[in-house]
This record gives sequence, structure tokens and C-alpha cells, in this order.
Amino acid sequence: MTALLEITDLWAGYGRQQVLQGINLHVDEGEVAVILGANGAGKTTTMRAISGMIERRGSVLFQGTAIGAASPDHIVHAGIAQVPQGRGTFTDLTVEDNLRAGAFVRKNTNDSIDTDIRQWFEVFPRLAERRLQKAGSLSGGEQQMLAIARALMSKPTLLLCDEPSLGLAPIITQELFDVLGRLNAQDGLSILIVEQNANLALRIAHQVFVLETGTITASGTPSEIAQNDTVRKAYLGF
Amino acid sequence: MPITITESSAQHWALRFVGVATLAGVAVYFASGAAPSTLGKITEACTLAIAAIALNLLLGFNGQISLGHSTFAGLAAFTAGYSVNAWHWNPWLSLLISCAVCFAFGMLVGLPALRLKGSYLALVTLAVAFVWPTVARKFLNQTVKQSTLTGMKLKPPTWTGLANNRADRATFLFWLSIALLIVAYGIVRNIRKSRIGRSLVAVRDNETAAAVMGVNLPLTKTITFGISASLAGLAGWLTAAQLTTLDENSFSILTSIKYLLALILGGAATLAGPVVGAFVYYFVDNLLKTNAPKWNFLPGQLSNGPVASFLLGAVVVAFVFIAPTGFVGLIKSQTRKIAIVVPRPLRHKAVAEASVENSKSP
Repeated sequence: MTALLEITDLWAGYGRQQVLQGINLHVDEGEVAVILGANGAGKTTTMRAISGMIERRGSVLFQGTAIGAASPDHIVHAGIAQVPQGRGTFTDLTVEDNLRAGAFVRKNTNDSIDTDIRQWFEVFPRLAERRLQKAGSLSGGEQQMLAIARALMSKPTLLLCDEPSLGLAPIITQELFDVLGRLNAQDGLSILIVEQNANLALRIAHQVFVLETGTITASGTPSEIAQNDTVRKAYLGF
Repeated sequence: MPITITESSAQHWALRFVGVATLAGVAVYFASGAAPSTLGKITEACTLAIAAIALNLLLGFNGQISLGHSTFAGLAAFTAGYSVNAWHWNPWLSLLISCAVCFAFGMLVGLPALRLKGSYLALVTLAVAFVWPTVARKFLNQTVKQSTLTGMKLKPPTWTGLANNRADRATFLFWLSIALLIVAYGIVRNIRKSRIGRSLVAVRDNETAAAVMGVNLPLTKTITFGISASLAGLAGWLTAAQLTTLDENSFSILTSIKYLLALILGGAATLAGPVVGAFVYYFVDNLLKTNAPKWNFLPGQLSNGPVASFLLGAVVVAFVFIAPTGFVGLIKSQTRKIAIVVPRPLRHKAVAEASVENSKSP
């Protein structure tokens, strides 16, 4: 298995404060990698560093190309899409226009974009019902689905999900993870998820990394991680 | 149940045609019958509408506030007035140059906007608007060596068949302002309906999400500032075409406030809003200024004082309560009960696949 995303000794932060202190992680092609971490561990910072939103040092290789110094739009062009924390839907645009906005980097004809919108409407029928509603009028769960569909409109090779379960009812979270698992199993989409909800995340993960105060303290397959006593106490609660 | 009309369907085109024909009819009616002074007022309202459209692109669709748009208009007006009078440039060439100068200056003012938001950006652009009169004064004193700058005295071209007298000049400027208004509206409408337009709104609604979708934030924001400034320049050039003299007070901070008021009254982030708002603002203001001094039914001091501005303020406050989304928002929410326009349905899969196949085959 070749690594799709390979991060070596990545440092990042805000101003003089370094949040990430030399993390190493990798996402293999066609796999789901999960970063577990508590509040303030640096999960969102990791996402922002991969997407090029903040200053960072270290090596980030994506499909063998160095993207550690690239700008956010170059990184999206390279094939990495992010579902930002807290959804980040464009509240004043309709559901359909949100999806069209997600296809910003694609220079294709409207026809192929329409085809993809139809496809996501099949995956998320509730978005189809709300096609012409403003995204701001959607429920939290629907907005999260919209955010995922919108990110996928750029046809990424790697999808980054920043705490998709944040602020959602358990049943909705379950549904979302089912969809993410299906996207990985059926379409071979590689996904990197950061989560606090270990139970759900471990179910679809192939690789797990535990992030604590800016460093990776443990990594392995879900079963290995589940046997790790500290992780079990901290995240699984038994 | 309201009637549903699909966007770009036959009914929608019919509706658009009726709308455009009505507006054109009104314009022709005024042009043929009205006195030069009335035409002059409409020309001024159109100029205000162009500036409000410019501000709408920046504030309404991209979420960047500017109180410095009067300066862009002033810069264009001075560039046009000076180049035509001192260097004997062709006025139409001066239009292009003025807009280009404003584009460049707008990009420059847009640079701090990359780091500033909301009230901080308002402050920076406010500073630009405050500095302008001083700069203009210095320019008049040192370069022009007069207290005022002469306007362009734009003559109707011969192909129009209009003579160079007051009435014909008014007719010419009236049609010119309408043409430029249509151009400005067309530019902003096409931007808004395009992929780029969605990215502008995306940046306004959520910068982070827009960036991780591949929108280049610094480029998008500065270019939008530049385009908006050059459209404001269009309004400034048109002002220089109307006025016989310009001075440093022609484009004070109050002018910026006027642009902002017209935009908010009409409805920011709607296409028709700035146009409707500009006409409503201009004519309510005009009506009050002409008539209010005659009204003596107001209590005490008010009937002697600046009644017009007081009443205008009251009207604006009242209006913000009645229609918080602006005039166009109010009209939309009412007409929605009768008819709604929905976007065209998604193109069908089979059709889409067929066309992809076609594009692949050589």
C-alpha cells in the first residue's frame, strides 16, 4: 500500500505559539485514517496545516508531490478537499448553489456538474428536497451533509473531515459515518477524519493516530488502539 | 399557491421582456416630453445608481465595506476633467483611463482589506475618504491654479443628431447615463450569476470554507475591490460630464454615505436593489428639499430649521423598520405570494453523459 498523504515532522501554529510539534502521520490510498484527540490537542490545526491555511514547517507529500508550502487553492487543485469544522455552509446560497460553489476548481461544463449534483442528491435525499432552500435554513445534520457533498463536488482524491460529529445528535452522527464508510468502501475515496467520538470513528478506520498536545502519542490499527489502555480510558470510556 | 416559473423558460423570458419593455417605455416617455431639468435629475439618479451598484458588488456580494467610494468617484472625475481640459484628451479615452486609474487605486486600497474586516476596514476606507478633499484642494491650488476644476462639457456626438444646446445636451446625458447604468448593471449581474460570483458570496459567507474549496482569497478580494472602484469611477466620470465645475467638496464623505444609504434602502446583495434604492433615495431627498421649506405645520423650531434633512432621516429610519431587507426585499416577499421564479431543473443524466461522450470523441 502506498501512502497517499505522508506527513513528516510537521510543525504549525498561530504566530509564535507552536501547536503542532513535529507530527508524523500518513494516509494510505483507499483508506480511512482517523486522528483522535481531545479539545486543544491540535486536531483542527492539523487540518488547517494540511490545507495550507496557516504557516507550517515540515514535509507534506501528497501523491509524491511536496505541498508543504503550497497555497490553499493549489492544494485543492491537487485533490484535497476539506469539510471545515462547524460545517461552514454558505448560508445565503441555496443548497444547489452551495454544491455548485464546491465545484469552483472544476472547469468542466455545467452538464457534468449537474450530473454530480444529481449523484449527491441520490446519496443525500434530504438535500434534494431542500434543493432551492437557503443553506442557512437547514438543520445542523443537513448542513453537515451539504458540507460533505460540497467538498466532494471538487472530485478530491483525499477528503479531510474536521470533527463531523460536532454538535449533532448521535443518530445523525451515525448516519454520517455510515455515508463516509460507504464512500470509502464503494468509491475508494481516501478520508482523513479528526474526531473526539472514538467509538464511531474506529468503526470505519483503517489507521488511527492519537494526538495529544501537538504530538502523536500512539498509532496503529483500530484494534491495536482499542487495546491501548490510556486510549481506552480517555476516548472509549471503559 | 403561487405560480411557479422556471428560470429561462418561455414564461420567464416573456416576463423579462415585459419588464424591460416597460422600463424602456418609461425612459422614452421621459426623454421625449420632460424638461431638461427633470432629465438632469434622472441623470443624477442614474449616476447614484451606478455608484450604488459598484458598492453592492463589494459590500453586498463580497462582504467588504467601503466608505471610500466617493474618493474613487472623485479621482475619476478629476482625472477626466483635468485630462480633457489641460491635455485636450478625447472624453471617451478619459473614461477608459479614469476607470483604469480607479481599478489600480481600488486594488491598492483593497490590500489592507486582506487583513482587516468589518469596522476596521470601514475605518481604513473612511480615512481615504477624509484625506481626499485635502489632496484635491492641493491639486487644484498647485496644478490647476484655480479654486475649481472645469467639467468635461461633454458634447453630443454628431451621429446622434443632437445639437450642442442645453436641452439637447440634457437629452444626450440622460441616454448616456442610462446606457452606462445598463453596462454597470450588466457587468455586476454577469459576475453574480457566474462561477466567480458564487465564489464572491462564498468568501462573504465563510472565508475558511471558501479557501478550502480552492478560492484564492487575496486575489478574489483585491480584484473585487478593483472592479468595484472602477465602477465607482464610471459614476465619477459621469458626474464630470454633467457638472460645469468640480471642487474638493464634490466628493466628500457624505457622498459615500449617500451611496451606502441608496444601497441599503434598495436592498444590498440583490441585483436590482442599488438601482431602486438610488432612485427612491434621490427623489425622496429631492422632493423634501423642494417642498419641505414651505411646510409650516411642523412644531416650533423644526419648521424653520433644516426640515428636509430631518425628515429624510426620519424616512430612512422608518424604512429600515418597515423593510429591513430593503425595497427589493419587500417587493420580493410580496410578489412571492403571486409567482416565484425557480432555477432550471438539473440537466438530465442521460443527456449529460451523451454530451460528455460527444465532447470526448474528436
